[in-house]
Amino acid sequence: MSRHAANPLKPEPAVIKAIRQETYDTTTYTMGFREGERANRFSFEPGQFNMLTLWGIGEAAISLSSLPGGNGTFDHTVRSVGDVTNALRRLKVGDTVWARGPYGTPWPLKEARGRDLLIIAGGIGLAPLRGVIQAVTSRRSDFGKAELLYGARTPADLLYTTEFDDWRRGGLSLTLTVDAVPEGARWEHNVGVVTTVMDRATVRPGGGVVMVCGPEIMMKFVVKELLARGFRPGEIFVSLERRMECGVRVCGRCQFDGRFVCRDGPVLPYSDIKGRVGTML
Amino acid sequence: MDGLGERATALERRVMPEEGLDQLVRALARRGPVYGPVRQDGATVYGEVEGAQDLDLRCTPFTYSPKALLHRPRQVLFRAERAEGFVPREPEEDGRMSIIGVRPCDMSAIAALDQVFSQEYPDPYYQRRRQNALLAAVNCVEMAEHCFCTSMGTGPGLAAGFDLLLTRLEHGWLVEAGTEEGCAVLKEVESRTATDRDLQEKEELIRKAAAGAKKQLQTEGLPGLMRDRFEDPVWKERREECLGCANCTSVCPTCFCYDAYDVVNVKGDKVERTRCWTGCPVVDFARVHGGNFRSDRGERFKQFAYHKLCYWKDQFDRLGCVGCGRCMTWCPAKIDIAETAQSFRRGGEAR
Repeated sequence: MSRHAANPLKPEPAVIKAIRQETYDTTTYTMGFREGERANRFSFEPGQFNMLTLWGIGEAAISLSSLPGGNGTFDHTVRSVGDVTNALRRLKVGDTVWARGPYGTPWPLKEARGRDLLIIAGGIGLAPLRGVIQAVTSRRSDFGKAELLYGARTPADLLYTTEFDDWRRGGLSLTLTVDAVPEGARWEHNVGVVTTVMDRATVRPGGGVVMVCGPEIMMKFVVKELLARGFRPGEIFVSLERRMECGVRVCGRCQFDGRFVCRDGPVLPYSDIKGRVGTML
Repeated sequence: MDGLGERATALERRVMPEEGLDQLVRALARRGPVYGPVRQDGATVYGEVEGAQDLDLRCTPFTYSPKALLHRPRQVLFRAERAEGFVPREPEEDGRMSIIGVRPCDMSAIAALDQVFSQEYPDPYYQRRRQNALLAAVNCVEMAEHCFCTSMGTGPGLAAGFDLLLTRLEHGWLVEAGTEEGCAVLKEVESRTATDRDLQEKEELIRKAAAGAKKQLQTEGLPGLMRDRFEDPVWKERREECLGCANCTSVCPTCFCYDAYDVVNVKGDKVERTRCWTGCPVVDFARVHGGNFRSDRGERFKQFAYHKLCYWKDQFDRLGCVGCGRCMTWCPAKIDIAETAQSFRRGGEAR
């Protein structure tokens, strides 16, 4: 393992370059580091995360929700549910957020090259997969089939709806579902939890890679359905969410079994989780 | 055998008279603050000492291990002020310090913490304090009620890792220096060269101490055994007993988990990012938005027991328990993880 000499807990200033409201409670921030080499080139892979600081509020682990931008930018799609994420909502373009990272394991995009890709996401779980979708739609010929099954609670909870057409044009097949449709809301797609649309996927076991992200209870049932359809534990990848104070395998908060989710994960093959304790999976 | 410390690697071995201990503490004090076991409110804790009269070097389990001097219970990570654009400043470094009276089990715990805090991203706060610390260990010549260092291979004698290593002989102290700095300190103390007889006396004392061990935990294949017994009914009993107080993780010399938060002044323009010990028995430990991955108290207690006796092996290729016995000594419910694990060897019923 390479060792890092600088203080790993010290965040650096990043400027908010764009803000896009995704839903009533979720926002995408495009940021770039203000100083140093990383101001122009910040490299990371989809699935990894940063620790974001708002001084006086605290620090939180937030997944990166894009590919690296050409000018060193990176996106975070944040649902306002905690101290840091709620405070982020008050910020404007030009404001500073402090960040450190990237941390954790990425989605297995390299392994997926030349093979089929099935993405199954629930709610905010689509955020860490958006970079994968950007990679696939921009380099479509590098992959076989590319299918997304995406479920949310209601139509108003769907993220990135303005990008769906681009994704389709980029060769991604989208299947959408919501748990419920409030009265008066327009909805032309499936109603039901995401497992109810799994039969619409055409990716077959042995043909590629499955990436799953969402609430752990959702992933539990998705994995169960995948296994029932013959997918092997080694071709199913999930991203776990745990409380993290450090991101660098020290604070201990994200442990399950002998694993530190911040470093051994967050993206793990199901074969690494199966039979271990401490997850719902 | 590990833990008997017969072959302690030392650069120099000397014997100082009874009053040499005081000279030693004062020699250390010339280099910076000296911390050692002191009696306070009916318990033995680490405190600053000026001379030998302050020290309590009886073989009793200290409430807090030297962990507290290296991985601080509360550590300011950064200070940031609005007037400075919140550019974070690290707190000033502490200087040289000595820790005297470190027990062999606690030396093993420090070696475990060294691993935890020097991974891919070394933790500068721990590293600095560790590099600044001169360790004057002391061999144990008797066993306390809950000691099981002999099972864990961590005591009662120490083999390596010390700057200075003391052993109380019938007449005076055997002092072994493991580093150049240890040798330098030793030069400032009245002493004579140790003889073979002195070393034989030390070996005999340690062997006698080891023979007095009252507790046993067979560690061979323990992680696998723990996995096999994950659903054992005994864990339900422990669940009912555990109060979730986290005394165990506080006194454990290897527990390293922490919480980090910002402390803000009233005007809201000065921030101290602070980390503070926490432990897996604490209810919020594994809480995330929308749920808690260990909402059950029994699961939280099991995380403690399994981390020490099972998962640590996966993470750091050793066990996370050094056999100091503190968790069971300070548990208000008298839960004994060693006895619980050992009961699996007997095929069942345990307390």
